[in-house]
Amino acid sequence: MPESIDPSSKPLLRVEELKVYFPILGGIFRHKVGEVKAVDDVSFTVNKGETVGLVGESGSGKSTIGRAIIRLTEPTAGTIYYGDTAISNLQAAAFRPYRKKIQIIFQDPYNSLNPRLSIFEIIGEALEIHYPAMSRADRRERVTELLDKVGLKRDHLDRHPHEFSGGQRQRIGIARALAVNPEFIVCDEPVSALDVSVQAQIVNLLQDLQEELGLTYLFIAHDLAVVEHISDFVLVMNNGKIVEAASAEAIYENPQHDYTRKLLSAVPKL
Amino acid sequence: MSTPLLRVENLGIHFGPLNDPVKAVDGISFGMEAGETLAVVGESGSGKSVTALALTRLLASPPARIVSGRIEFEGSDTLLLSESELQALRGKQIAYIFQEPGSSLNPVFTIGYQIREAIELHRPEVDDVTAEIIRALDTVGIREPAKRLDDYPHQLSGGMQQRVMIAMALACQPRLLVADEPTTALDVTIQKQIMDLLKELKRTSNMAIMLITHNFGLVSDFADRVAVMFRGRIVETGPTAEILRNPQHAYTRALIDCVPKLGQKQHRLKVIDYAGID
Repeated sequence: MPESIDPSSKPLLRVEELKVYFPILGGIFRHKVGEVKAVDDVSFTVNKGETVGLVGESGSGKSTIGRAIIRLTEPTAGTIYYGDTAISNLQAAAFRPYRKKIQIIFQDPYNSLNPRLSIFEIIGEALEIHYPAMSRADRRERVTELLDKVGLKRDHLDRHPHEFSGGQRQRIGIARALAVNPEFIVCDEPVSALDVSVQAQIVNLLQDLQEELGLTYLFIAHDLAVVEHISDFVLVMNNGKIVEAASAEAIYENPQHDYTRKLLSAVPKL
Repeated sequence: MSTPLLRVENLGIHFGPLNDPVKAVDGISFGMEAGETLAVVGESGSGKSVTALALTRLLASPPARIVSGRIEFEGSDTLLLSESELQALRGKQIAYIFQEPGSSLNPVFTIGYQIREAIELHRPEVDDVTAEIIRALDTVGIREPAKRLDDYPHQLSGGMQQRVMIAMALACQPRLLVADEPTTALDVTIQKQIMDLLKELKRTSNMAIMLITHNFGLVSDFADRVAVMFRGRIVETGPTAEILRNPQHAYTRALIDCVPKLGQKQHRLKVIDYAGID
């Protein structure tokens, strides 16, 4: 398990020997003929207030880890602890409070927002579920506050997703994640679909919000330059395993694994 | 002096209402020599893709209106060509590869069939089309190409699909390849492979390449020249090394600065100060 950089800070999330296998079905009766080891015995910790970067190519299993944490995917084996609670074994009802604490931002800002809902409805939906006592007027007030926080305007409230650019949509996705006052956010390739100029704005916004709200991030990406910039600690994944884990500086200055060197050499040089 | 391969003069393309048009391309001029590589760099909405599509009149009209200018390709104005002359130009003289290879390929035909279609249309003189397809796939680094002819697009990864698109473009031996954000949908490692392939093609063929990108990181060891587009205008153009070393326009400088650099940890990334540019 990687050591934490600052031994005084407490791990907020602890992943222990996580395995996620997907069955390969075959034959007339679609029985299991094999399995894909998407995540194969992965352990790491994320300390409170820090950013851990998870980097690897498509198919390396990095998004599956993010999905396992918020339980969109069931682990085959292993345990995920949030604080001192093993959240990977909880019943759905017992897990519900953690859905509030742990939020996710997705890669594709075009497909992750419901095109039929207004921005108020998209962001307010989470409030309706987690704060059922909140009045509609209070919800509008809260959503307005959130739009302001992510750099959008009050009059965007009643517009629909198609009226926004990719970068603005990603801001809406961030506002939706922030609505329920989370502690931990899984950022699943939040900038991969954006122009480099917009990427810089969104990365800076995430860093500002982290500073202001004390958020903890698991930042998933394939571009080591972005990961190195935003992360305190970096995990490099290949074929379902973590092949290297080190501080952001050490990954760049002294990469140990061939695969890490391959990722470093793929970063465009100016 | 020889005629340039491509000369665009005062090109203007508008969208929307006549009395209050959106000037997607606002009077731009540039040229390309045979075999030259030009990178057109700009953000979404700067007009770079609209310019590229206009070269062979691929823009749907309406809504697009070409309101001014000339586009000369090998001496003839493509804006004056008939539809059948345009058909001969598209693919055969000017070929394109686009951002999402997955949606550029037809999912219900094999890749062999799709490349064959292009060769039979544009190079009827070729006798052994299959050999030509295999040669094209081999050029783009697809291993054992003879075995891949019957593959459908979904059986290939994104990087392989983009290689197939490039093979299809090359099979017609175009004079100009327009690569419109060819690596944006791909992982950085696959991006490097595709850029290495384009570099190899630049070295070994006499095809001119227009690379359209939002990422200055891709142009440094690829393009001979760079044109920077901002709000429908070319704000700066020149040799790549010179622009990277000594950008003159504030927008060019900002676009170079916002690329995250390895090993230079900054507190925050630099963002473009649009108010300061105007």
